[in-house]
Amino acid sequence: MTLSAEVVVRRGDFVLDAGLVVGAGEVLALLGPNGSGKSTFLGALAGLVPVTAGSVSVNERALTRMSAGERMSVPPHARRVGLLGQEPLLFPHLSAMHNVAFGVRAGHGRRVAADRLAEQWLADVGLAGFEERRPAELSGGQQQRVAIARALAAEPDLLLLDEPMASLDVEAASSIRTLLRERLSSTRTTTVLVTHDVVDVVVLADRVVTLERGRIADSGSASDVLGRPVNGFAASLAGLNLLAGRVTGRGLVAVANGHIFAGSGDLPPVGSEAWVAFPRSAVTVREPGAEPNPAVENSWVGTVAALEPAAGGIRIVLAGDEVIAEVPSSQVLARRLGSGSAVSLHVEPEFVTVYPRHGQAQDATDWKRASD
Amino acid sequence: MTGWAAGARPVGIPRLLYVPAAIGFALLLLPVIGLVVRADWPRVPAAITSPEALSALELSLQTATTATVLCAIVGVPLALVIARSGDRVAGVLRALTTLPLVMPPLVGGIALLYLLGRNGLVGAVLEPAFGIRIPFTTAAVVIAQSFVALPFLVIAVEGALRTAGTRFETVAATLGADRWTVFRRITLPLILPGLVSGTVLCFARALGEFGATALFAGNAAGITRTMPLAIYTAFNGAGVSQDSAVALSLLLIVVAVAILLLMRSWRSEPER
Repeated sequence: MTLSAEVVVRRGDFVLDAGLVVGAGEVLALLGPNGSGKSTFLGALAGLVPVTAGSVSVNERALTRMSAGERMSVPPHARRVGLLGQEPLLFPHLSAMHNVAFGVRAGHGRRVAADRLAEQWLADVGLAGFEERRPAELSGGQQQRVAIARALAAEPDLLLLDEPMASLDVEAASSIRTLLRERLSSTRTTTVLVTHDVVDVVVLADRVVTLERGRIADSGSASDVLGRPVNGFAASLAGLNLLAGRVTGRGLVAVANGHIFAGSGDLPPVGSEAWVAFPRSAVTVREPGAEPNPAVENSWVGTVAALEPAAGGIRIVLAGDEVIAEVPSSQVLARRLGSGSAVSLHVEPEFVTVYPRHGQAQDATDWKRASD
Repeated sequence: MTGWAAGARPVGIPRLLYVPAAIGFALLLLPVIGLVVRADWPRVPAAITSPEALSALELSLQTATTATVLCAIVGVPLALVIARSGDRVAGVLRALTTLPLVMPPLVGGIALLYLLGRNGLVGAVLEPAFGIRIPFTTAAVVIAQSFVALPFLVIAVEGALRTAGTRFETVAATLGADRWTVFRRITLPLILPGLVSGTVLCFARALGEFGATALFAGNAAGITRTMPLAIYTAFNGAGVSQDSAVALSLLLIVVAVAILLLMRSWRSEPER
């Protein structure tokens, strides 16, 4: 089933104005900072949020058509659009099996057949033998497995996943992610996945769209969007520093504060706008020795503003500098770094990617805020 | 709750507060004890099995049950409308619904009389057009009881609906369930505990209803003389001793408590 949606939703000052096409059986990851309109978009697709203008259709079947002359919206129960959120929201008064059978029966399935199908689904999500358990008797991960079975057993034309792994611990999230991948590909369910987790994107998504302040900011394959980000959110999700600059020479880019970076990639001509991207973990931090020559690329000095936890180490936020460094905690301890410490920074050119920046009206401060 | 709070001894309450608490408890319990002590026990069996007493008990159970069923049929939808309305509309509806709760039942009885009585707003039409006369009939008893008891059910059910929220209903809708299916298979089961306690309160209030019934339905033996009216009649000594009033009061208390316990045991069953 192919989803095509083009919606405008106005809610007070916020305006969502975005369009999507998701091919049959495709899993599209919808990324964006908090408040960018991801959940509103899902709500509009599910028919739960009133659409101001635009249209939503699945395989030519119109679900929403809002224009000057027409105001049509199929109610949520008749859309065949499933929704699975962060919380499993299993019906507390029904057993695991009857939870799964609920959607099958609502789709006019016979009771006995629905129960048998529900049993099969529970087995498929690794919960054979748990049929009679009440939701309160299941762990968080088990509950989410039942919720997945329930959502897919209803055979939706389109499945909306809103951070389905966000409330699970790391191990449960990992096994649920694997399960989702299997089930989504075996049922070829067209899916829109909202997530904050880069692992979800890597494991589940065929394609990625980023949303910023209610508008589509970027779209493409995961390696395009995360490998060559064009906004701070995608860059921070990928663990990259992203700087805007102008090409000054062969492989050389001057960024806003005058530092010059050397790198490789899809090099734009001299004088044109470019992005410079490098992993936070590729930034090395040393005590300031001799003042680095400002003419030397990829090296500069800075002052530590704050230390924050990061996966596998410590994130160093610099004062008056957009760059973030992520280093092993041993380095911070060995050099007794703290707020106010002067440091010398360096990144090897092999880690620096340079690519063209096409007329994006984004100034540096703009995406810095979005990355938080 | 965090780990340390789970096993910790509670902070406790100021000792001084035990005094008013004990007074409050005594105020509730002592009158019942007084009644039990004052009863002329050897004559109780005869008093409560007299034809008058049994007829009043039967009428009370019939009318209170009918009123409770009526209240459930209109009260659950009313609670649903209030719970799903916007804050402002819900506030107005809730205030109007609870009016009978704060209104003296006697006033309620007069109001019903002026609505359904021979010269009342609706009554003036009913009698000439359909030959229906409501005041001073058993139907009037049921209407009076429903009038005073309905708010109890609505408040309990509305509270349960607000606690249950709409998230499960939304999930059910995305699974393809239409509004009726959601109401029947999700909303009703979720509010069942609230509905049961609301029904019990409603029944207890209907069973004890006196003021509105006395004014609107009167005190005709076998037709409108429910237990409270029989107790009142006996107490005012229309040829009967006050001992009968005490015996009938005890019977009413026993019936009410028995129903309360019955409902409670039934309610605890489906929840494992």
